[in-house]
Amino acid sequence: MSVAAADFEQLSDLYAAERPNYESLAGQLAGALEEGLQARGLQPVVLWRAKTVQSFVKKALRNGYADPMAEIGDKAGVRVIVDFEADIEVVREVAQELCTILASEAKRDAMAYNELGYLGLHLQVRPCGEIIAAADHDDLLSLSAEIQVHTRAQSAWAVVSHELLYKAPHELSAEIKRGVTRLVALVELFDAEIARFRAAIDADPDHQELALLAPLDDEIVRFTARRPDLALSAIVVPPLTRLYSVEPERLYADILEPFIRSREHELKALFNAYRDDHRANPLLFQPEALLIFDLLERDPDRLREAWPADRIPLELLESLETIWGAEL
Amino acid sequence: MNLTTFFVESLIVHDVPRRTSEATAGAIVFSDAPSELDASLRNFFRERTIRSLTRQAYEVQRDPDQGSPVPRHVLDILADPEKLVARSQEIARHLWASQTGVNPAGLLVVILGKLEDAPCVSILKLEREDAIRVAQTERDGHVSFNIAHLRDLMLGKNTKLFKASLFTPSGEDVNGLVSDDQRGYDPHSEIAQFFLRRFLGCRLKRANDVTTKAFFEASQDWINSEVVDETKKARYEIALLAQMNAPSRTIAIKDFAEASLDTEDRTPYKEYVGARGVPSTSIAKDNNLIELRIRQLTYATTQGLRLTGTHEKMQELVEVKPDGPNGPVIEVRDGLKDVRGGR
Repeated sequence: MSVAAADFEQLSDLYAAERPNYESLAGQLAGALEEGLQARGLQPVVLWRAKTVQSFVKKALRNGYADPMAEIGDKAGVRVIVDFEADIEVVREVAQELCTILASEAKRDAMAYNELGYLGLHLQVRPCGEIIAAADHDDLLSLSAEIQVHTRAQSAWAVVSHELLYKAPHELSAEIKRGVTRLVALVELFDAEIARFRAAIDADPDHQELALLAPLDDEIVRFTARRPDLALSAIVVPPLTRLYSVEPERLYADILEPFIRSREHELKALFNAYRDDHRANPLLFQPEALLIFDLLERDPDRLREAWPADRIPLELLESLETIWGAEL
Repeated sequence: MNLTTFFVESLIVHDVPRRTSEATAGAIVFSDAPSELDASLRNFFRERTIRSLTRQAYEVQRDPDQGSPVPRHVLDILADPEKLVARSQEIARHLWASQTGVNPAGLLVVILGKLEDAPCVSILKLEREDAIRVAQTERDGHVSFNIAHLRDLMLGKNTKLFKASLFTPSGEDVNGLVSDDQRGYDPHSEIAQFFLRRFLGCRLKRANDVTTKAFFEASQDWINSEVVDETKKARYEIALLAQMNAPSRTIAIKDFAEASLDTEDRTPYKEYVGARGVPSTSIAKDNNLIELRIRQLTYATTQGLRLTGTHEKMQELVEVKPDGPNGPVIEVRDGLKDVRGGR
C-alpha cells in the first residue's frame, strides 16, 4: 500500500522533526569511522549528511513505500572514499567494530558478469553505544544509517553519472545512457590495474624498506610542520634500514617507536629550537632523521660506513651528529 | 652531560686584546648587553660548542688551589641570569689578566643556556687575528657585538683556536667539560696552565694515571674476553700497546675504536669499556701505573711455549695465521741467535 498524496504533508512534518537526530547520527558515525580508519593507516575522504526533507519525500513518492520512515535506509548517510579497492574491506572491518551491520551489499556482486553499472559497497548499520555521545543515546541508538564505500575512481563515476543521467531535464537516448554506463568498465580496469601495480610495488625489497617511512612520517609531523621530501628519504632510508638485524616491517614497532617514546622530551626540545632556523640542516626535518638519531646512539660507526655519501654529502650526517649531541 | 639537551638562551661577547707591556685592561672592548640572536645564530653556537666538546673534552672541576674567580662568577650567573653582563665582564677582565704576551687576542663568548632543562654556562674563547675586529651594534643605548658578523668570521679563516667549556652547578661548586679544538690538552703545556688552570680555575676531575690504567685494562679485557678471532685479537692487542706507547698525550675510547678496530667491533667495544667506568671524554695519558705492562707483548702457545717481545717487533716478525690444523698458529720470521738451558 502506498502512501496517499494527502499524507505527504504529514510525512514531511514527521521526518523534519526527526531529521536533526539523523544529522547528529551521521556526523558522529562519520567522525568515528574517520578516526578508526586513520588508526589503520588510511587517509580516507569521509562525507556525511542527513537526507533533506524534500529528497526524503520525493524518494517515498518515487518508490511507493508503505512505511517510508522505516524503509528509506539512507536518512543518515556517510560516504567513505578510499584510495584502493583493497581498502574497502578495511572500511567494512572498521564499520563492524563500530556498528551492528544490518545489511551489506557489494554492488558488483549483484550484477551478472555481462552487466555494467554502479559499483561500491553499501552497509546498513546501527551504531554501537560507544561511538554515540552519552547525551544522545536515547535519541540515536535505535536509528540506522547507510555507509557507502567507494574507491576514488568509483566515486568519480558515481558522481558524474548521477549528474548526467539522473539530473538530465529530459529523457536521454539509450545510446547516451549506454555510453555513460560503459565508462564504468574503465573504472573497474583502473582499480584492478592499480591493485596489480600496488602488489608488484609491495613485493619490491626496496619498497619494504621504504615502508618504514609511513610510521616515521606520522611521528615527524608531531615534531615539525615542515614537509618532507620523500625522494630524499628514498636515497637515505634503504641502506640504513639494512643496519638493523630485525625485519624492515618490525623495525618501527620493535626499535624505533620505543626509541622515540623514550627520547620524546629531548626530540620536542630539539625540533622546537630548530623550528625557525632557516639555515638548519635539511635532513633534520625528514622522517629519516629519527632513524638516524637512533643509529647515532646505537652504532655510529656502521651508520657512517653505510651512509650513501655518493648521493648525500657526509657533512650532512656529521652535522646531524652534532645536532643530536652526545652523552659525555 | 647529555649534550642533546644543550640549548643557547642568551650570549654576550667581549673582545680581549693581546696583552702587551703597554696595554692595560682598559683596552678590553666590552659589551654592555647580550647580543641579539635569532634561532639560526643560537643554533650555530649550540652546534659549534657541541662539536668542540664531542671531539675532545675533559671532565673538570674547580681547583681550590687556583685563585681564579671564574667558577664563582659562573655560579653567580647560574643563580641569577640578570648578572650575565656584569659577571661576564669580570670574566673578560680575568682572561686578560691571565694571559701573557704569547696568548693571542681573542673573543670571549659567555653563553647562558639550558642543559637537561637546568641552567648552564658555556665559556668560549676564539682567538682572532690582531687586525680583525668584530662589528659592534648599539640598541637602546647598549653596545653589543654583531653575532652574524662573528659567525661569518668563524666560518671563514679569520678566527682560529677555539676553546670551549660548559659548566653546570654541583652543590655549591661547578662541574664542567673543557675542550681545545686544535691543541688538545697536555697537562704540562702552557696552554693547559693558561686556559684550564689560570683562567678557568679548574683541574681535571680524575687522576690521569688512574684513568689511563682503567682505559688500558678495560680495553685489554674486552680484547681477551669478547674478540673470538685470534688473528684479530693479536691485531687489536698490538694496536692497544702501540696506542699506549705512542708519543701522543691523550687517549680516548672513540679515537682508539675508530683508528684500530673494525667497524662492527667499535660499538660493542665502546659499550663494554664505557660500562667499566672509563670516561667517554678524552683522557690525558699517564702510563705511570702500567709502565711495565705495556712494554712487552707475550704470545702463549697451547703447548706451553711463551714468546715475548716489544709490540713493534711482534708486529714486524710474528704472524698469527688462523688456519692451522688445530686452530690458529703463530709464525715467527726471525733468525736464531742463541739457545740457553735452565729456567
